[in-house]
Amino acid sequence: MLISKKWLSKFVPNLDGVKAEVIASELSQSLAEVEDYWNVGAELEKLVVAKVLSVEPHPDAEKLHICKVDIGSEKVQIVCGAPNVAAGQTVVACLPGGSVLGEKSKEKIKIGVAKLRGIDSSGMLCSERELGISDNHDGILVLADTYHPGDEFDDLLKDTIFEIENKSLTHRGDCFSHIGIAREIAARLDLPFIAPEYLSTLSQTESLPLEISVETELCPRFLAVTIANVSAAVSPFWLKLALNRVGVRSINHLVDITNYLMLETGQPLHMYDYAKIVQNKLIVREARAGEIFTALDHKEYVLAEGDLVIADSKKILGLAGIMGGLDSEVSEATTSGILEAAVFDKVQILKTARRLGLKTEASTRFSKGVDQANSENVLKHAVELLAEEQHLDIASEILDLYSKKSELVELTVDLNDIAKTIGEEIEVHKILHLLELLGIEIKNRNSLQTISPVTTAKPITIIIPTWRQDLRLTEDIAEEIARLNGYEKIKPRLPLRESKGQNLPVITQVSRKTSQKLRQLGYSEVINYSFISKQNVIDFQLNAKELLEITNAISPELNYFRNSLIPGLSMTILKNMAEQCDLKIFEIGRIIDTTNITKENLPYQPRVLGMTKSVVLAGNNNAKNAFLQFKGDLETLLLNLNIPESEITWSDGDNQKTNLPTGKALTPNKTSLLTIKGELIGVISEITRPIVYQLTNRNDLRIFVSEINIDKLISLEVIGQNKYQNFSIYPTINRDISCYIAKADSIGTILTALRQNKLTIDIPVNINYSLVDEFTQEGIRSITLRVELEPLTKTLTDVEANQIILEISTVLTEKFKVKLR
Amino acid sequence: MSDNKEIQKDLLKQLQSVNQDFKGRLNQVEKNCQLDSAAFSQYTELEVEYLGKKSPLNSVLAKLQKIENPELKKEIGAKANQIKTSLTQELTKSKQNLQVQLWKDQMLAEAIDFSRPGLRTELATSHIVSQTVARIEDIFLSMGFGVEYPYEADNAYNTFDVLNIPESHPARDNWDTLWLSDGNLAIPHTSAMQNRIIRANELPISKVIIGKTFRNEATDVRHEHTFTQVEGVYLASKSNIGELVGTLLEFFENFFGRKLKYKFSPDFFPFTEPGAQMAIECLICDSKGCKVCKGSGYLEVIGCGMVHPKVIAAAGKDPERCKGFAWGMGVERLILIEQQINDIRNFYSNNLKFTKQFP
Repeated sequence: MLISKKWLSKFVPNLDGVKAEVIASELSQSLAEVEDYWNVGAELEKLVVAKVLSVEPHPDAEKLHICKVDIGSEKVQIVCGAPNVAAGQTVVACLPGGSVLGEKSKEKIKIGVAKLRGIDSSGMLCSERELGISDNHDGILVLADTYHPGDEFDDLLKDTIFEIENKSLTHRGDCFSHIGIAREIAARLDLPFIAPEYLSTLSQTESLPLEISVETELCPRFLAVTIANVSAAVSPFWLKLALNRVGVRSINHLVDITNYLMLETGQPLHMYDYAKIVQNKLIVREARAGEIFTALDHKEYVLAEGDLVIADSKKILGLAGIMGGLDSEVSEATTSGILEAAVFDKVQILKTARRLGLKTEASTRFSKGVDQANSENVLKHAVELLAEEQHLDIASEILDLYSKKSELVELTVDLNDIAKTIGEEIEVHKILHLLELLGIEIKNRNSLQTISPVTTAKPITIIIPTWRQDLRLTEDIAEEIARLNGYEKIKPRLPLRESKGQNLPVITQVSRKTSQKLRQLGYSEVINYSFISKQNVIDFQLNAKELLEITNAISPELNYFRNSLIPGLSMTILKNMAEQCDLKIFEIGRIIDTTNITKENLPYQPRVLGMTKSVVLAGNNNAKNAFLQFKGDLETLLLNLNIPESEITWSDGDNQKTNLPTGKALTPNKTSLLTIKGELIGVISEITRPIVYQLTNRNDLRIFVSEINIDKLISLEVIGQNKYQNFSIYPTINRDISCYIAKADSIGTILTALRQNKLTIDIPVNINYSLVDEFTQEGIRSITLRVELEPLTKTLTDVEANQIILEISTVLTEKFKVKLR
Repeated sequence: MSDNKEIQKDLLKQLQSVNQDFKGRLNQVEKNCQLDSAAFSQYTELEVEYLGKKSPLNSVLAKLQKIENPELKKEIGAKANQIKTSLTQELTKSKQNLQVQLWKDQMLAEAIDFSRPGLRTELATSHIVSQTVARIEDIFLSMGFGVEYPYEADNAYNTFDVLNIPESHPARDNWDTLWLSDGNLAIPHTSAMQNRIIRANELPISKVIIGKTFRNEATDVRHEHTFTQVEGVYLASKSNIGELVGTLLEFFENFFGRKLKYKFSPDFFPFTEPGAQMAIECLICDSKGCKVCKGSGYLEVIGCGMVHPKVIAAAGKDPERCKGFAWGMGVERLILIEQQINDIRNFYSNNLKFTKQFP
């Protein structure tokens, strides 16, 4: 929002002497951030009001005129090329030594004494463009006769413009106006604020009948008056200037006045062409679904039920509070008009503006809240300002349908509560003064002890001004005091309280440990977006029906929430392939499982670990080992989370009847489900070769993937603490058992059986089993198991060791029909 | 007797020749080893040949068993043992000398150009955002704040309604929310957890809520649709703005490891009253004014305020007896400041050139 310093000075005259940077920093410190401010008109020098006394043609140039002009102190000759120059005009002259603006604004043009085709010229008569108030350069600017020759003109054009961040003013409808900002800066700097004075009545001099009817509850106040014998003339200079400074284009006098007063007071106004209204009647009503409306921007809008419109009996004249209609627009042909000042329901305006994507200056103000107590004043003021510049007749009384008159809000506030909220002792008289600066009336002021400390002060009863719809609670009042007194004065301190120890949540402890272990294993962490694209869905053959769709994303790739980390991790591998093909990465993050709805009616969103390893393989020779290493990494992680090996189960590779989201992207016989304590916890697999080939055009790249539900793992309570175990002081004996096994035999089952097997031999000994080798030669599968014998009470003799190994071998041959090698 | 003499003579002669042969062979082995270090194994052969079970020395000792004359036996035995000892010593000494020589040669052959970079291992890294989140968690933990995490998909009720942002509130637009096909939304702020936390805990409540948040933005150098937010909420029987300022300052000074100048100014959030924002001195230009701080010398880092009474009431607590403050800040913003990263998209591009920079 742009705010003009000159405009503010109208209400805070003392602001003239305050530096722009002070205003900017004080507003930032007390109200809303001033994002930027800049000076305008600084380039303009030595400009005076001049009266054109005579205009003679130039003897040597058809387009030039020799003008005698009165510049107050003297009469000078200025050669002027403007086609519109004429004797009797009041204009602006730039005297020698001065400067104006060139074609590109900010470009400064120096003016001196010159000879134009042999004729002396002591200065220049200026166009609007040269004065920096519009792009118009077709002729010179002609002022009203109220300006006096010789009066300095530079100062009128010099101003400072502040750009205010209006997000932090969302609750401050009153501040979407120069009056509102003026009141704020006056209060902060403790300068007098001069409230505008408004006419008490308008006197009717003509008669144009008008009827208004409000057929909705969503319009608490609707005011209108007809005006006869008006014209949509060019606006006077001061009006054009004021609008230009805050970035609003001048259209015509009638429209400009409505815009001007909206920018000044925050009350949007609208002017209809009287002749275009059927049956002289304005109806405020809710739209019917599907009604079509053509707005001033020449676009057609399809309305929904409940949208507020102003209509006559035949057509929609305007989208209430948002934009006027093309069919009732004022134009050069307009001779009479209807001026409207209304207040509409802010929620409905916001809703309609949002739905139609049509946010206007008016809708912004209506949706933040307009002071309906002031609407009539603004309406009258608009007529008054118009009448100052052109003859017009007021042709009706002011029609005012004021259905929901707002009551004055009274609030009783305990000053001690305010001081406690701020955490600073502020004197009572200071608080009262600050409130009064904001226009808040203190009803019981006379009965207050203003020198008493705030802790013993009596509660105050205050009357909230009509424009402050945001002040309803003690906390709201506390904020007013805090920010006007100065947030910067609040001393930082730490809360005093019982200091209780806090632990990190289990999920954090497990995640951090997981991350640490995986990094030890050489896996680096990545963080992907939580979203996947339609292309990902196609590439990884996901089921779009299982995905939660984003309905309004601007970014084209944000189509769904992810339901697996695997696509993102795989894409990360591909993204970095040019740099490095052998990658080990992991991610811990939430996935969104729409097939599982929680008690809160939200999709289940577990935190999941995704692990990926990519390898480049020349043939198939190393593929199996590379995959087993990947599986080993995952197992190392699980074991280091102290999950007992006995609780870990892997499903058969061929068992592919799974409902995994990424199921179709996983190689069937290389997919195994991880079950812990009988619960499905995750999966390990390899991305199918066709998918990898399609994405990379490579035949030698393999992508191994795994996904583990960490939340579920935690809930199973299998993640243990490190626990010391006594170890034997007697030498450990290692023996290897090599045997042939059947193709379909499961090594896991064999190991589990051995671990569960109770020895008959009566020597206390810990036995650990591990696999040291597995290979297939000439179609026969061989394994080598290592048996680690750890005697607990004495050194094991060879004979005893042999005896144990024999027993283990017997279990193998009898239970599994293996053949010892 | 003459037999004895004969035997004696013969055995002594044999011992003599063993001694001499050995010396010759040892010389030869030494020479061989000088030529080729592989010949070192010949020492073992030599040892077997002259000191092993089938060595000539052993056969002399075997024959000695048959001699009955004790004096003779003693004399020859002593001689044989003397030779055995001397042989062993000579062999060991020669072997040791040569071994030392060989090691020396080997080491010389392995001479290293120490200016040459060693063979290095690239460390696996954790993500800079995770690292920073952990730092933040640890600081707040030390200040007595517990840690919680938000959902990523949540409902409008928890995200807006209970935070004093009813659907009619114009501020609801300020969040640029991503909406979902099931009517829920991608959380635009971690405040979506505030109601649940206030409801579930007894006073005093001190928690930070850290997680991914989402905004409907088109990405460019300075805009990102995904960022990590740290929300904090403190509620006790009494509290004030000074405690809010103090708590935040304590955090930032711990995080950046230095004293900081700061600015505390009003701002508006529907769920705070009063609302504020805090800026800290620009660490990039030392408050001199630069592009990043837009010349102001300060960087906005956090939005905050006293928790709005309606928010407290909506969570089933009495706003008269429950006061406190809350805040929300972006983790990536802190990293951008600390690391002076110029493109916000780097965070989730997962370009290894970026992630590897933070081991």
